[in-house]
Order: sequence, then structure tokens, then C-alpha cells
Amino acid sequence: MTPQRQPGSAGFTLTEVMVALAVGTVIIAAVLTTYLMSLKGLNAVANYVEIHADGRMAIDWFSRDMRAASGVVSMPNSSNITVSIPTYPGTKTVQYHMNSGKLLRTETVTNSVTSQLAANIYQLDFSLYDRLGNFTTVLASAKGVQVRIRLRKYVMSQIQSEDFLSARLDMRNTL
Amino acid sequence: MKASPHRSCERGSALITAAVAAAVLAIMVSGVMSYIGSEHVFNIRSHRWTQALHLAEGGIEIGFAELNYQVFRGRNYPSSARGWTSLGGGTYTKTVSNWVDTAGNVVGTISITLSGISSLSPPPTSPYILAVGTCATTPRGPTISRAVKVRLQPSTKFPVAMMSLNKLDLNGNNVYTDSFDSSDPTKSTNGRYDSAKKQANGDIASNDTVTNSVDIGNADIYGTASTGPGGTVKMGKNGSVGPTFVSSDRADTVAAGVAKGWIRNDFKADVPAVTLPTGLSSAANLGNISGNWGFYGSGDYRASGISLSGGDTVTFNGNTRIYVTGNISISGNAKIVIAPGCTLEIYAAGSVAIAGNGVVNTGNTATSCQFYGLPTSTSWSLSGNGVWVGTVYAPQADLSLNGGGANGDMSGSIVAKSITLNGQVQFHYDEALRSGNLANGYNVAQWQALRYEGGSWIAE
Repeated sequence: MTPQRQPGSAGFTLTEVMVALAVGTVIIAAVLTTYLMSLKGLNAVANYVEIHADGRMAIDWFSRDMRAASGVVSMPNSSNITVSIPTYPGTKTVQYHMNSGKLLRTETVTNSVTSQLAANIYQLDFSLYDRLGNFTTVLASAKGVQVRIRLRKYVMSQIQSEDFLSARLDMRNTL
Repeated sequence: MKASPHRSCERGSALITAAVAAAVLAIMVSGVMSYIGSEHVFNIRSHRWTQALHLAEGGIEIGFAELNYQVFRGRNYPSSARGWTSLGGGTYTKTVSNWVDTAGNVVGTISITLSGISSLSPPPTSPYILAVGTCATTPRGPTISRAVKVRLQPSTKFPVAMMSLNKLDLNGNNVYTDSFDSSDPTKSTNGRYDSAKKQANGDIASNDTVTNSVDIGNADIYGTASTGPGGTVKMGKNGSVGPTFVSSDRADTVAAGVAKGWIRNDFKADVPAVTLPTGLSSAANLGNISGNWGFYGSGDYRASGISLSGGDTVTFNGNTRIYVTGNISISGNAKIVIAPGCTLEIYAAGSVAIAGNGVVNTGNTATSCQFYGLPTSTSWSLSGNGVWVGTVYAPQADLSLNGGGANGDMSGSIVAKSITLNGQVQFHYDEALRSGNLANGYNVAQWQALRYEGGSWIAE
């Protein structure tokens, strides 16, 4: 007895199935790749927003302190600076320094209070400039202070987001 | 022909898939757009935040200009003609609306308040300026205001012990500069220099910008040495510099002085020419002053010259101002005596040569003996046996200090076109000259950024 194909229940040939699977796989791969890329992009944007906000806040604090400063008290290395700020009456000192990738601000009146301004710091540099705008290493000659902050966020040891901020401020109370 | 139900089902799936994909894409795009929008607002706000501070600092400059204008041009109160309104109690305000940038765009508004202006003659000692910068409102964000408060202090004609426009040359032996403060009994005795209370602020400076603008030679500068931009300092092998009396801490080479910030080349001082005070050009004419004279009571005078020699003595027993149209010469044992509690101001149009017993400023401080060189006065020489206590302001004169008796002891301050020391001179800068009535405009004494909180501006 020869089997008869029922009308309306026709199947697919192996070739059709293979082609369909191949096309499906390509489409799914493309969709997944797009999705993952988008996810990665959004994640990178979110990370960038985070480090950029941190950097901006750090620069804002730094700007505020440097404008009010009357002089540089110490600068043991290029990522550690302490300035004095007149408080009318009295004086306080403010130190900016880095520890384990974090930018810290330590304010000392009688006691010291340390706050974290930013994490994910890859590079932090302070440099001094005299009244003529020339670079100087002499604390007594400093009128301007420049900061350069490079922030990085990694995902699986890969640099995913990076931000670079810089500002140079004149110490208004250095007379 | 009858449509297959299977095919109808496939079409529905495609529609749903497309709708889901579109929704996902829309969410992603809206997220990105939202981020971009937030960044835009953030940037505008950040820009305005900075701009408001710059406006406030611009307001400080406007206040500065008004006060300096008053000091140099007549000492009247802030003028309503320039938009100032008196609020009483020595307070004045001015508002600059719709401040525009160079492109003609409105940046914002500046509100300025001058306070502590109870009197402008003498100039107020500590006026302050409060300036509020408000950024113009633009779409998508609030208006931002920031404020800066600056307390001022009169700028002095005598910021250092010795200041020259050109070369400052310290020749001679046993030359040194240090300081004292005649207004502080812990830094002076009866307002005079006391070596037991000496201070290390005997700074010297030149406005010049050339090599060896300041030659310290073998002098000891108990203070700092400065030149204008590009200028350099020369120092002999026995010279030293530094605001300290601890020998081991002092700099005995130029390199060491530069490294410690005690030798600098960023000095700049305004040195305006002397203008004759109102009324002196038509004051009573005494002719040439020679022989023995006594001035009793206060007054303004003119003289064609001062020529004292032998034992001539001219005594001033009041507050006297003299406009000398010719030369001034004191030699032999002659002297000028300023009685205790009295003052003498001399405005010299010719050369000045003070030797003999010089000017005896008995029991007074440097502000009691003021010598001014008018623009035609180009040659000055100070020497003699007396102890000089006074000020010299002669910005067109080449001045030599030749030492002499009393160990070449001099107190006060000197400003001249060039200064050359010959012989033995110990110069003691009177720090009280940094303030007082010898105003030369204003300087910033304190700068504070403020924030608005609880209805008022408070320190950040």
C-alpha cells in the first residue's frame, strides 16, 4: 500500500527547514547583537553620566575653594595639594588628594573632615602658575592653580567610559 | 480562491513583532533623547552658573572704578550721574540691567552695593563692594544669581622700603633693609625704629623688566626683592635675602632666593606722577628760603628755592606745605627741624640735595615728613649726619643715598625713578605706610563668594 499525502497537511522538505533555520539564526543573532550593543551603549552612557557628574562636582568644589584661597600651604606631589582659605575671622585649610582611585577633600578648621568628591579617578594632576601665568613650583609664587582630572570606568577590564576635565583658577585672596 | 488560515496567522505575528520592535526602539530613542536633553539643560545651567560669577566680578570692577575715580579725581561721593543711588549710612547702589556681550547678546544684570563710604576725605579705610550677577533667563532653566563680596583697603604709594621704576642698585658697605611698624608698640618704640623689635619686611622692588633690574650687591635684604616681568636680580657673594633673621634660613644666592619665592619677577606697581595739590601754586610766595627761619602755625607757601648752609636752621612748628619751584640744598651743619606733632610736605620742582644735618623729624613718624618730586624734579641726593625719618616720592628722579653719620640710619620709604646706594645705609621700612592717608587707589583685602540662603547672602 502506497501512503498518500493528505491535502492541507503538506510538510517541509529538509532543505526548506535548513534554510529557515539558517535565516532564523541570522535574524536572531542580528537582533541579539543589536540588543547587546545597545545595552552596552546605554550602560556606557550611564557610566559616562556618572563619572561626568562626579567630575563636575569635584571641579565645582575645587573651583570654589581655589577662588577663596589665600595661598598654597603644601604640595608634596602633583596629586596632593593643600591651600589656606581665610574665613573672616580665622583660616581653614583644604586638602585635595587621591586615595585608591577616589578624590578626597579634607577640610580642617580645628578638626578634619574628609569627604569623597569622586570615584573612578584614573589621573589627578595639580600644577601651579605665577601671576604672569608661567608654570612654577615655588609655592610662595603661586597665584593660579590648575587641576586635571581623568576619570575612567571599566567593564570586564576594558575601558568603557572616560572623561577628562580641567580648570585653572586664580586664588583671589593671594594678594 | 480561499485564503489559507495558516497564512493569516503569519501576518499577525509579523505585525506584533514589528510593533514590539518599534516600541523597543522608541524607548531607546526616547532614552537617548532624554539624556541629550538633560545634558543640554545641564550645560546651560553650568554655563549660567559660571556666567553669573563673572557678572558679579564685573560688578566688583565697576565698584572699584568708582572708588578709585573718587580718590584720584576729587574725592566726592559716588556720583548719581554715573547711576549711583545713596541709601544713607554710607551705602550706595547701582544696577546695570541687560549687560550685553561684545556680540550684542544680553548676558544678565549686575547689582552693586558700595558700603562703608562714610567719608571720602580721607578715603574710607575699609569699604566693601557687594556685587550680584544675575543671568538672563533663557528657555529651560531658572535664572541664576551669584554674589561676590570684596573688602578693600587703601593702596599705598609706599608698598615697600625702596621702589624704583628703573634700576635699583645697592652699592656700598654694611647696607641692609628691615622694617618696623610705627603704629604698633610691639614693633616700635614711641613710633620709632627699635632694633630689638625689628621686623623682616624690608622689601625692595623695581618695576623694571630688564636684566639686573635690582642689584643687591653685598647688602642684606631682610625681606624680598622683586622686579617686573622678565627682570632679574643680581647679588654679590656677601649679599643675602629673605624675610627672616635666622641666618641659616636666608638665601645667599639668587637661585636660592628664587626657589624660596623671596626673589620674584612678577612685581607691578602703579606709580602716578605727582600733581601739585590745589592752592599751592597760588600760595604766599616766600622767595628763596635761606638762613634761619621759623614757621609757626599751619599753612601753605611757595618758595623759589631752599638754600641752607653753615649753621642755618629752619624750624616748622605747624602743619606746613611748601611748593618749591627751584632747587633745594642743605649743606654744612644746616638742618630742617620738624617740631613734635607737626608735619611738613615739600613739593619740589627742581633738584634736591640734602646733606649737612639733614631733616630732623623730632619725635615724629615718617608720615610727618613727606618729600614729593614733581615731574620736573629729576635729581635727588640724600646724605648727611642726621637720622632720616620720612618718605620720598619722586617718580621722575634719579636718587642717590649716600649714607653718612648716625650709621646711615634711615626710616620710612622711598619711591624714585632709579635708586643708587653709595656708602653705609641701614634702611628701615615703616609698615604703617601701607595704610593711612597716603592712598593710591584701592587694593583687595578680602574676596568672598556668597550664596543666597534664608533670604540673605552668606559666605559659601
